[in-house]
Amino acid sequence: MLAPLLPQCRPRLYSTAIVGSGPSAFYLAKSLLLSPSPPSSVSLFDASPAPFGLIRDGVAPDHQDVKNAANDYTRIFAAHPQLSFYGNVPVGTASSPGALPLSELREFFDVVALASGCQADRSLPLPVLGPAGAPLPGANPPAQVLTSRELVGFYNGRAGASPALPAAPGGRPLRAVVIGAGNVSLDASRVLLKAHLGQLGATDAPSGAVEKLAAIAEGGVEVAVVARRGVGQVKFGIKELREIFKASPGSYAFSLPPEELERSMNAATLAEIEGVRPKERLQKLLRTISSSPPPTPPPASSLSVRTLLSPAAYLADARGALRGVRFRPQVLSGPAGSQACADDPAAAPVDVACDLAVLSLGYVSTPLRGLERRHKGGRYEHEAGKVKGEEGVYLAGWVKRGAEGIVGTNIACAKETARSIVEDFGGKGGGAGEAEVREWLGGLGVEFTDWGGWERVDEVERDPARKRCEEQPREKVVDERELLEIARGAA
Amino acid sequence: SRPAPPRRRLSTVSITFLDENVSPAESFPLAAKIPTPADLAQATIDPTDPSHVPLNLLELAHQNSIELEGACGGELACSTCHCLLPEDLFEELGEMEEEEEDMLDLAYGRVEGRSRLGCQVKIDGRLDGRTFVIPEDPY
Repeated sequence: MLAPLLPQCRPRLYSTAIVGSGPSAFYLAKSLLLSPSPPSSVSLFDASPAPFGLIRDGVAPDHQDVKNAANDYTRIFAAHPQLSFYGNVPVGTASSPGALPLSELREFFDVVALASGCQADRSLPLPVLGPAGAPLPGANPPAQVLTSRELVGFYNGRAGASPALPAAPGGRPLRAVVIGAGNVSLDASRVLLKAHLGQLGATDAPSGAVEKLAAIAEGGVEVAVVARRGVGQVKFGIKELREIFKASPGSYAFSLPPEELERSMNAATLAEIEGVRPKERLQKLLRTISSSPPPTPPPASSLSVRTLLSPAAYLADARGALRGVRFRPQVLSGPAGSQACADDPAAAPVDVACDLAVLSLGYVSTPLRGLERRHKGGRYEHEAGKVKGEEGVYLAGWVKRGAEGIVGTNIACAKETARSIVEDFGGKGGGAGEAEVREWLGGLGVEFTDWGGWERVDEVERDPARKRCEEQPREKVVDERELLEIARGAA
Repeated sequence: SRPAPPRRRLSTVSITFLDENVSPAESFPLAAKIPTPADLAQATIDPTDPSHVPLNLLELAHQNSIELEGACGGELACSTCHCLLPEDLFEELGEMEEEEEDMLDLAYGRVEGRSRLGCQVKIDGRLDGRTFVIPEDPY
């Protein structure tokens, strides 16, 4: 007769903590759990009681098809009982109460993987000039300058996001300048345009945000997306650009000044594009946009792509409210593939009037406490996802690669990190399971929420009585305390 | 060049997936039903339902547990279902939509004249006896 397997004879599997619960976290969890040497448990830790990271907070509300990736993550969660979610647990910041220091995680878990994304914004310090052209003391930047993180958080209903928006300009379109030429700039522009067109109703943008944006956009929206370098160096995706182009007829004017396009096409830029099919196709579309005749009669809204303009100052009125952004025209120089821009000494500054400025310069990661010395030049140093010089610390997603790519990009990235983890830890470890993790968290006094808490939130958000129309996927809970109470089951 | 296949009405096709993400590459021969108009009319039902007749290469791979990712669920919002077709079949299938080309621009290991998104290649008689390569991912 076979004796039952004694505890000390059970295979010693490694336990894994993942910081974050967005796409990279789920793809990493899935890769590990399906590997030939899976962990005993995978615990996802998120500061928010609601999982899914940028799928929920970052992907634009009118891109529900992309947001549907959350269904895959729910399926992954359901398929693996060893996978757990702990919400309301910010990691690494010793300043906020209930926060879990990285050191505690590393002591308890065999493997800690960061899938925590990029928590900081690239900054743009500029002087504020008053009506007379002299520096103006007071708020710098002016209140009407938002980071893309703030605006995106607002229209995506990230709990606690409530930036100050400019007042509705009476009787004329809202003018917005978006600084930065990537997909986030296109998202912000498109959402503002749709706010005027009344096309946000069937999205999951929360009603408060939809109303506020519709109110300030009532007279139309004129957006200028401004790039520092040339047309050849923009970071827009062709799909995102084509989407805006195809939706423009009858709704808004979409333009790219031909003169700036021609100035962008220096020899080095042409060399960068030639023979690279994705670039050739993107540039062909940009040229088509540039040569399209302006619609008549001119619609109330417009989106223009401006290039070779570097921000030099915020222009404010006497009270310090934003009234424009000053740019200096640029010239490109340097070898193809690494051209730099510099102020054109012969050109006068270009002032673009605006009520709202959005800084969309890209995101960067900030080091967790305890890993500062591994974070250089804005990134952790790593080898195939393993943080160099640290035992048992790994990376997946934006925190590993920088803020680039689409949702699917994280799949191969996570597979690489999973391979590194399995190589280092396959077949060895402390073997903590979910029960041990809960006990440990309880012992530390961490007030976590769990997947059941998220399911409660999900049910509340999808309640038809809450929604403004049937097509709206969900009416998000935007109040932080309410979100926590629902997740705790205390609401 | 290949001789023209005999003209006959097929109801199923033999399709092989060749997964180059494993070493050595692994071959998965399958039989797939060619969707009828009735099957196409039910296209909106859950493709994960075992009774669903796969309409394209991605759905076929998923139903047979083959490792072909479809992060966006076939909505032309990613390039994870990237497959390489035999050159002559690629040509026979003809031009693809702009939107598919846009996403293929992001695909790793893209081969002009062979790359398609699996979610856009419909199961029909032309696929009979052919092999579809799942190219190695970048890591």
